[in-house]
Amino acid sequence: MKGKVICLVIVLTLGLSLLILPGFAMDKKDIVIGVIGPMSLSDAASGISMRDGVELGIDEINKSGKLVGINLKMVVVDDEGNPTKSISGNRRLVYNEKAIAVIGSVASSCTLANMQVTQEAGIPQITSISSSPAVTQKGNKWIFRTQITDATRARNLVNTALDVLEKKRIAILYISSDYGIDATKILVDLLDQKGYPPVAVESFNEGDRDFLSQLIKIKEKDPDTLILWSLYEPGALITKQVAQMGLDVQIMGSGGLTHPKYVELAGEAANGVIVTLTYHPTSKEPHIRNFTEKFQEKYGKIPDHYNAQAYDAVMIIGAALEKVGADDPLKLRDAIASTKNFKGISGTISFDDKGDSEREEMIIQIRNLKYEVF
Amino acid sequence: MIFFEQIISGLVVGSIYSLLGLGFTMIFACTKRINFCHGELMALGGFVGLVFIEIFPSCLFLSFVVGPLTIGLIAVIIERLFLRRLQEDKPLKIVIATIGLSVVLSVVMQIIWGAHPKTYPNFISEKPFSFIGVKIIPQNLFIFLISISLMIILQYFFLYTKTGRALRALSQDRYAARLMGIKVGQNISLVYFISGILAGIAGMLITPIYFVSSSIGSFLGLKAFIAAVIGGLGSVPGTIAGGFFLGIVESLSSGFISSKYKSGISLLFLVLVLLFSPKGLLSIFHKVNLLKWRKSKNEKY
Repeated sequence: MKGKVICLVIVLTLGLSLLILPGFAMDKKDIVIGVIGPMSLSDAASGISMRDGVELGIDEINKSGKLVGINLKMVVVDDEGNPTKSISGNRRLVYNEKAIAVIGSVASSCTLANMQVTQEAGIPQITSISSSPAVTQKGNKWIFRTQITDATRARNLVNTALDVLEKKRIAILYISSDYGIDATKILVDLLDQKGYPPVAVESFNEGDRDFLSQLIKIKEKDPDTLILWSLYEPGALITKQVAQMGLDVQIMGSGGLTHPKYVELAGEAANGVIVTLTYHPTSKEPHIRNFTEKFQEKYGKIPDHYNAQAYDAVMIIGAALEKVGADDPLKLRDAIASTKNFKGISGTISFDDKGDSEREEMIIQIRNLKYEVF
Repeated sequence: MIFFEQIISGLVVGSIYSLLGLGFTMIFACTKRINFCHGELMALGGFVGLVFIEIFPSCLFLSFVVGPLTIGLIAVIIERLFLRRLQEDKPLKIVIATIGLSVVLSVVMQIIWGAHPKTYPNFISEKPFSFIGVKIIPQNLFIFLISISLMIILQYFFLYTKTGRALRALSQDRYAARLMGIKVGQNISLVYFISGILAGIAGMLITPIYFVSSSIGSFLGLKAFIAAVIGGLGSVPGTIAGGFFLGIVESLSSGFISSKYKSGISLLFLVLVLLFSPKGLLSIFHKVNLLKWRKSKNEKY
């Protein structure tokens, strides 16, 4: 009999506690932030960078307690870099997981496809990696971007060359694909506007290994700067061949040259090359250093600009949630759209009417095979 | 001056095309079949070279011997396992089989060494020296000299050694050659071994200047094949000439027209050669002699 009473007491306490405990947690409502991007296959590294950045951001927002009654939760969907899977994945986030906002995807083709889902559902979406200008040109008011577009990067490179380095004779060597052709048009226009038209504009084809012909032509024009709009592999080959030819120019480059493999392949020749980035771990600014330290503590690796841009995306959503709460997605969108001078890790972000944030980047130079702030 | 610089840069690319094209030509000359996985064998040569250089970092020469030999052996294994059975069959079967093998090889390389390109430091100084006002990069000169000497060695081997003669007999009439006591299977394996060694050497030579990746094989392999066809598939001097021709045409067209049309212009030459001189560029010179030869032949009968 005694045993039965004890048993009853235990069962009752357990039962009660089960009833009460979630009650405490119920004070805070779970709000889902969806993350969509490639978590497997060839582009997985970029997708995982994005996920880590978002995860760190969500942790900090939850810890800070700024959001009253809201507990942010991250749900990750793998789209394998495939636009079709990206659409179905985004449907899952929006309709099944009831995400209040979505961050992603990585490939521009995926973002272009899946942003229609959030547009239909009326859910704000921020892409932290896709760089194609088309993403924000579709008149979709639900899409925002913390990534720098190629147009912005081109402008930053030109400004750095003309204003900071005071160069005057600029040559351009670009890859003949959409990536290179579109950016080169912008570069040439900008240089013309500034009154220093490029002295040489040369291109190469994907897969080319030998660039001596183009470099000989460029050398004839006696440039002082070579802007290289290329992926990392041809970029490294060109950098090496420039050094071999004894062509004395300041090489500046597009995003391709910020790939860690670039320095590994180009070796000594890469020293002195200048690129621009939204974030760099050696930055001395306190809020950026704080992010770098926290990230390193959590993941045991040095963060990159993809981490920073994803972190900024979730922090912008967090700030908007703080302002308007999580009840109305339209209010949330408007709050995100009105983001002005947000002091992010990847620069000071203000969204324009299209959802882009043009901003200055950090000037980075490769010294002793390491990227360092110029 | 710019013209000469363009010619020299063309000669460098050309010597790589020639070196690779030699592998196609050797196999075609002896078996009348085309081995489309030759480019991938070259890429494999680069990767294997990378492994050996890591194993014997102090002795570059050793890796330069062991690396190509390994590729030679791999080529023999491929021939023995897959291609021998198809040898007597229709030529198309070997073409399809080797295209398939090239895809398999590049996937295997991607699994083992990853999708990113790799490289190792140059073995010769990268600093260019001036020769009559034209800057020459020692590594490129080295590749140029190696291709030329390999061409001379191969030509000598084909023309003046017993094995070379046996291989030529084989290429003319396999049945008659067998009747004369030439071991067909063994000799074909030998041809694949030599072409594998050539691919291995090419792979090790280009890795420091062009990087090695699982996709480089199909790209350079195709270019080398085009070069061999332009020059005359099956003829060693023809292939070398074709390689240099293609290199110079590419270099001049991107130097004086536009690099966008480089591939188009070189392929135009391929079509022209196939139309007007299907046996290759060098056969144009032979044609002049051919007329005389025909005359004398007619006189005889």
